[in-house]
Amino acid sequence: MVERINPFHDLYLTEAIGPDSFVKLFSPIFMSQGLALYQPGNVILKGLQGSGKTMLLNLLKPETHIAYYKQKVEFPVPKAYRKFISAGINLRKSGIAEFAQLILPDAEAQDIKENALYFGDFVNYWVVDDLIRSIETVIDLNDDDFASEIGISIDKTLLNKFAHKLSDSLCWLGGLEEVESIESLKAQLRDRILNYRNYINLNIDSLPDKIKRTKTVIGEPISQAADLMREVGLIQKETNVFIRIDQYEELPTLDFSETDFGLLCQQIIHKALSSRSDSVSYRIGTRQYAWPSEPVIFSTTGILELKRDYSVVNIDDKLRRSENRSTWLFPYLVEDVFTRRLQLTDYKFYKKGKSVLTDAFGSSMTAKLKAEHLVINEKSRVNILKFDPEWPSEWNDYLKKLSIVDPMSAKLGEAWARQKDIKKRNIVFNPPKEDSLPWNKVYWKKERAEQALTQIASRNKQQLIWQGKDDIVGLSGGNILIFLFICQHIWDSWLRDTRGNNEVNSEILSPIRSEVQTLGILNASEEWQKKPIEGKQSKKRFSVIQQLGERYYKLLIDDLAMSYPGRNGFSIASYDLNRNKIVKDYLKLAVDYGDLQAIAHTSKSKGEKRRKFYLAPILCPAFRISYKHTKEPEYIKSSLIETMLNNNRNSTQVNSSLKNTLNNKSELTQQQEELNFTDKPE
Amino acid sequence: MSDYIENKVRKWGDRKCRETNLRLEYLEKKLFSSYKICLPPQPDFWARIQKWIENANGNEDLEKELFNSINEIFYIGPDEFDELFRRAYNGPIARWLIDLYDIDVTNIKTAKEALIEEVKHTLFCPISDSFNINHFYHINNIPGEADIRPEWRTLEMLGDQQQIRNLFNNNQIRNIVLLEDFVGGGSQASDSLIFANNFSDVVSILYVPLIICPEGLVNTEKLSQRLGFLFEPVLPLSVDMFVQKATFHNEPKQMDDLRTLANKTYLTVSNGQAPGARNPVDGRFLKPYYPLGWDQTGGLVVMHTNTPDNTLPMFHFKSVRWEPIFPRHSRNE
Repeated sequence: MVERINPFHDLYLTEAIGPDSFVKLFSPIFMSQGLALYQPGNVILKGLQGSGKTMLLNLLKPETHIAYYKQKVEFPVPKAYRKFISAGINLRKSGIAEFAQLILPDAEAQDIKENALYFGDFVNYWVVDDLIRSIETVIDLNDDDFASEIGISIDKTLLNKFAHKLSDSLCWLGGLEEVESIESLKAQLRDRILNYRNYINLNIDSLPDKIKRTKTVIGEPISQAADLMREVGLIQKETNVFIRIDQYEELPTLDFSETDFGLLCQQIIHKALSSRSDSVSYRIGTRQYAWPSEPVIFSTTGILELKRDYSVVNIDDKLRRSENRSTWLFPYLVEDVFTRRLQLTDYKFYKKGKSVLTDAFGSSMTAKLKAEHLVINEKSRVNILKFDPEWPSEWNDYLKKLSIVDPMSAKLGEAWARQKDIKKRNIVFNPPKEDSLPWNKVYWKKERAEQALTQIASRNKQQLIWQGKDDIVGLSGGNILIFLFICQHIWDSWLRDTRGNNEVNSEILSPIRSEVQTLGILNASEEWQKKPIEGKQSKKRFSVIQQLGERYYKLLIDDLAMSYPGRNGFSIASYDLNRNKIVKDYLKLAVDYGDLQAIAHTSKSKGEKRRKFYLAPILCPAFRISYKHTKEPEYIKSSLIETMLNNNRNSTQVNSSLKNTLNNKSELTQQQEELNFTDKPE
Repeated sequence: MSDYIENKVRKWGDRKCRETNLRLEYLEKKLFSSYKICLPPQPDFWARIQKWIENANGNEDLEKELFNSINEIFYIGPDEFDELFRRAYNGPIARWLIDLYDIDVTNIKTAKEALIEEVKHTLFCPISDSFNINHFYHINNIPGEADIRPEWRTLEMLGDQQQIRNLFNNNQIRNIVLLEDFVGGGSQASDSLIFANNFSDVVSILYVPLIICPEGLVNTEKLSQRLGFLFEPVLPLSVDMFVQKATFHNEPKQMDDLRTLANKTYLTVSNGQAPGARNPVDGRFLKPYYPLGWDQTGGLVVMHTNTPDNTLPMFHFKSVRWEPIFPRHSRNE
């Protein structure tokens, strides 16, 4: 039997593959949203971990463009924007972090600043060397058509002319000897880089005096190199030079021993962006949390100005679902990514529909169908109901009968009879006919279907069902890494389920069974839940997520009347948030790390501004709550989150405190009303 | 047809079981598939785990307990043994020779040469045949000039003392390293160590168990002080890695759970034989001895070569009514 592989085993495949495989795996779907990356001007490319930043930046590399050209695949960048060359540095892979290791705990501020300047000098030399390598890559292709498309000359003799002029430039502050050939220039650049690498690896005791005396100003040699390339005719005047600086989030982590080294390195990068020169444009790839709200420029009090000094492309915002589903890009992206991954394997589908995702996972069941699958036999169907002691037996029997044929409807009927409105409550004395069930009103039912499912599963001590394309896309929350993570776990679950089954070879009996998908998704959710252990304030973030998840599960299952079906998220008034810095900072961090999703919304109180927050959808299965947002979330004060932050999580304590609250229904209602009453806009 | 375990995990609907399932999937690939007693054509891990769960006879709570209990096993695979071999050679043995012959370690090159010279006069001798001495030689690239690799217990039984002295003399042996892969209470090795001590006038003796249980550590230390040989284990196991006979304050919950599970399944494991039962003829304890294994040790160790009998018998003892997850190969069934 051929060993079956998981096509999603490597989540970060596109970061590790060569240009040829890149062409097969890169999805051009996002391109329309990221065109700013291919136009002049500095761009900060923000995104959560694994959102595709590196992949988008790698598209700028000449070897990627050449791979498309050689394979005769249309390059995803529109023709109008193809005149560019790029160079760059990956702050993680280039060993920049090791600069920080040179700083002793008792280092003076001046020493730390000097090390930051070495960092800037290193970046200059690295990037100029990479820029020359990029040009040579194009020249080596020796293809006039390609070179003219990107606006580059393939006349090799120009390289020496360029080398002479660049080596003679004042931007090096005496750091380079004047040379006549490109080889000599490259040798000098690489010698400097080598010296730095030897120094940070402690192979030499100190940097050569010449380096100490000739530290360059960040960005200057890079701009100079680009200008001279244009001057000698290596690149055309209108050819853009893009400088990629990836993994910027590495820099804040360099603040070892409570020094500001990482901060200074960030400021060095900001300085490069502050030059407002037309020579080059920077592309900074960073995770959300790392880019400061006020990017200070090194050795100044000035800050970079949004729109003027840089613009932002936020991948997460572009891919998150908006109100209008038809313009939502993410489902198209994941469909394409999924198809491309499978094309690298031998998996085939018996059924071939329009959507490969649907072929593999099927359509998501309706809530009604999920309820029927959750409770299969008569006994368990009746068991989903909880009867009020004051209800007449006729009504109880009515619900029991209904539960056997339609458990979802019976559960909604139970909730209807628990509503505050006396007219609704009186239904217990006059059960409706099957064709005129009042709880079948479209919106009333739709808004409560997910809560009903949670309660049905809870009554039978079961897990919710998670399956089908819509669930998988919804749980991914607009994050491609999470989508791949879910697929990886479903595939693993399927591989385990068919372990030792010789009939299943490298083909897949599509769609994968829903119970197999549910287990895979639960595994993914529970694994993802452990992820906040990484990063800033990890323990607190983990603790708050736990408390929120448990809180919403309890609130949803104990609200038998289904009066608050939207309680899988919370809403805080903006004025409250603005005066509670601890909670505001925490919420920003939690959103930047992807633990929570933030959405602005209109308050129930006229004129009031509020922000609502939901757990990242992927976390919901682990807490047995729905990822879908319906009706109003829980209105809370920031102090509740502050209490959670101060609570060293002890699940027993959390549960018991919540239990006390829930045991007193009137208190809960009072709390809600009180919040509405006191939450006045400033 | 769906896999038995996957079906069970789905049916149980329990987060801990799901996490165990993922862990076992990983450990099976990395470790459990190396269990020598069950290499093909014996049933593989997944076939054994099915029978392991079927021990519960459909009692769902017991099924889950059995499934999750595998998490607590301390499995030592071939890679881990290789590392223990290396640690033994580069740690206790090298230190002992350096001290013994006052080797100057300030000059690495000459120190290494001097060490190798002493190794040529050292007999590496396993106490029992469970220790793979050839592999120990290979992994450490030990020069094998004296091409003799006897097992000490066999020497003890077959050779007379004069012949052993001749062996040392003819091969210029002046150091003996006695090796053992696993030591429980230390009683099995003590006779061999006492016998070895007869030669302390002509050879220096070092005893290196790779893994040793707390009781074995205490007993062997006492013996080494009494007889005067040197003793340094590579991996002494701490008391908290064993299930104790009775619960105690702050005991980890999983240990309490394991004790309860071992006790409640014991009569099924032993096919009705009471704990501590003895053979009426010779008075020897009958296997599997106790719910917590031989001498009520409460061990959780499984080695890729075999499972010690002081590990909980539910994990290794096969009876008419019980299928173990890591069946033990026993010399005297």
